[in-house]
Amino acid sequence: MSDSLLRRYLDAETLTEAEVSELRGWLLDDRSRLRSLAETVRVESELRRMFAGDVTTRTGGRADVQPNAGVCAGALRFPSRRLLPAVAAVALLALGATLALLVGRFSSGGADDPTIRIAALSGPPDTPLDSAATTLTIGASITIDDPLSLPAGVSASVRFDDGTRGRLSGPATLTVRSGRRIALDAGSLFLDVPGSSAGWLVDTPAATFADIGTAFTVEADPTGSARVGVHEGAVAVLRPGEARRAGARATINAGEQAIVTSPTAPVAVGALQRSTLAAIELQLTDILLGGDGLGGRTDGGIDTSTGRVTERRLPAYVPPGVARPFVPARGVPFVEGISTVMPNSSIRYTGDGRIAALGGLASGTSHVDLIRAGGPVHGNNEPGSGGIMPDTVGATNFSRLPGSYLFLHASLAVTFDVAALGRHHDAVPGRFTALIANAEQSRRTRVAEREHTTFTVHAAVLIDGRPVFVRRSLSRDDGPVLVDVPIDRSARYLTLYIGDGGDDQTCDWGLIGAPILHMTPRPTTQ
Amino acid sequence: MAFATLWVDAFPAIESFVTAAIRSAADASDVVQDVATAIAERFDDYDRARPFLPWAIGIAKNRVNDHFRRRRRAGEPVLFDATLLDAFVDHQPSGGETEHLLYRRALAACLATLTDRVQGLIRLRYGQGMGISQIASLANTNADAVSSALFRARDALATCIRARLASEGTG
Repeated sequence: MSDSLLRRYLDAETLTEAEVSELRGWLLDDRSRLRSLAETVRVESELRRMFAGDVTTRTGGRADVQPNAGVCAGALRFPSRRLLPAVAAVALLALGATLALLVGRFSSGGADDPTIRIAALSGPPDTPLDSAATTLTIGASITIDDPLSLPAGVSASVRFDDGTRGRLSGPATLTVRSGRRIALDAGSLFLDVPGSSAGWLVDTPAATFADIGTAFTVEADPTGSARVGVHEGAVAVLRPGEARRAGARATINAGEQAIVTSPTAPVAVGALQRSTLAAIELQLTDILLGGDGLGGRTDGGIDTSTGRVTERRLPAYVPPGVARPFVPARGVPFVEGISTVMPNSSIRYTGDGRIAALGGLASGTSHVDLIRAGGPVHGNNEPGSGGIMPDTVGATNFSRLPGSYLFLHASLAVTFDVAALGRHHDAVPGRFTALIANAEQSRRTRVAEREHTTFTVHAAVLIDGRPVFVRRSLSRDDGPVLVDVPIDRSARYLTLYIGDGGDDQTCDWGLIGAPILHMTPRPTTQ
Repeated sequence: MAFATLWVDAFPAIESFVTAAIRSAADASDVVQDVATAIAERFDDYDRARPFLPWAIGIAKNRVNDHFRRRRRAGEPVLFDATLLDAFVDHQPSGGETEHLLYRRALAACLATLTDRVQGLIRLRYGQGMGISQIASLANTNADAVSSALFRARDALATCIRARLASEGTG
């Protein structure tokens, strides 16, 4: 009896008080049952985490979080959405009967000319966005057979009249051939096709990709190779000129990607690398300066005392010991705020993006300054100091990195609103990557009298207040450290933190180079 | 040892315990956050001569208990009373993040031994968060069959993981 109650409990059925009481007694009667329950619910919670992409591996004694690719790659081969149509289609394909049917449908491309409208555009404001016949403005229609080109850094969201949504990321060249057929010569195209509209074809120089009711991304490389990543459902790979010949296809399922280097090369199928396919790369420097991550802003910073963006030559200087636990960002849409962290205090995360203190990572004297984006940064953080702040660490010139860098003077944290960015870009977060370094290295010569100190900093990355990357005592001799951490799609806040290392209260400067938030377009059902 | 280091090592076990005890993922997430805050606030009370994880799990248990108390007050039947929760804690993993990493690797390997159909059911249940009836409808079968299949699958996974970890000397 209670065995069935346990199953109902695990199935998340609602039990009455009497049933719960009976189940409780049954479990306490025999501790092996309780052990079994503990094992089962742990399996459940780990499965949820696994499928949410939140499994991390760590190495050595450091808490550097590594990508989770491959941990469960072999298990992610089952179409998750629109399950039956996809499975049915694949089964029929396996019987050899459906290929002709599919090709017939795909090749027809739909009888009517479609209406394709630009739903959203992102990119630098001054970028020319005109194709030969289509002015790229929100609401504009895309003309059939008119090649559409997007420059680097520009993304366009499009909606088709059959409900299909797409996102084209530049640099890209695309031509809409017919109602359900697109030629992609270069760039990255994400398509989310409703089940009722299955049958889209995306032509690339290397292969044609046929949708079987799914969400997928196609990338065409100028060299002629192509890659398809299947987020949900399944995609068939057809070769140019061979679309009607049986055997000229491979089926790529959800969680997989395929690379085709030429029309005659074999199709290489592997686990989907979500971090690279269809990624929208948002520069946190641009976001810090009031943009949405695609604007390329690198010139200025945020005043930690006011939370406002200010221009490059920052006049303010916050003397040591002046800590403000949290300053909300003002007029910066996707930055929640700045926390200036006092030393020797324990971690305190309030759940709204505030990091009031970080125990173990805030030693020495808090010596806060402004957060700057871009580079090189003028050396005005200390009274009377006029030159250029260091931007080269080891062999890496941070001012030449994509998006340049954030310059943080310990001890402070800046929190970005990842969820708001996701809503704005209609995407879900995937990863955060950056190069973090102690900037003091370049000051060796200029500040020779300080050679006896190491000027270390602590660096941390937190997701919703949870440390996912911690590097303690990063010295000027360590050089840049690569940060690459996965971000769960349900995450809300991303916090970057540079703390005083405790060995000297001055010159604890952290560079966060090329800070990029990688996002993936959101399928319609999410 | 610094708080951050201890916390990072203990976090998987604490999160695992909380999410195992609290069925609602959203509630569990909130409680995990509460636990983190509570542990941080009370870190000065921690006796560094003793292991960190049991101390932290003790705090987590209290927070989970608080959560259940609130649910009970709201009129919701709650399986875990204080006695059952105490006993449940005894069956929680005591290892740090290394143990969790090995566990997750074992789970991935064991999952791959299941049939495609069962993997699909698991994906729908735990990846998509679908209910049993919803899955049954999609899979063209009845709810009891899905429930039984998932019940057997979880049992098989637990057994497989136990065996793998034991063979690796970590179980």
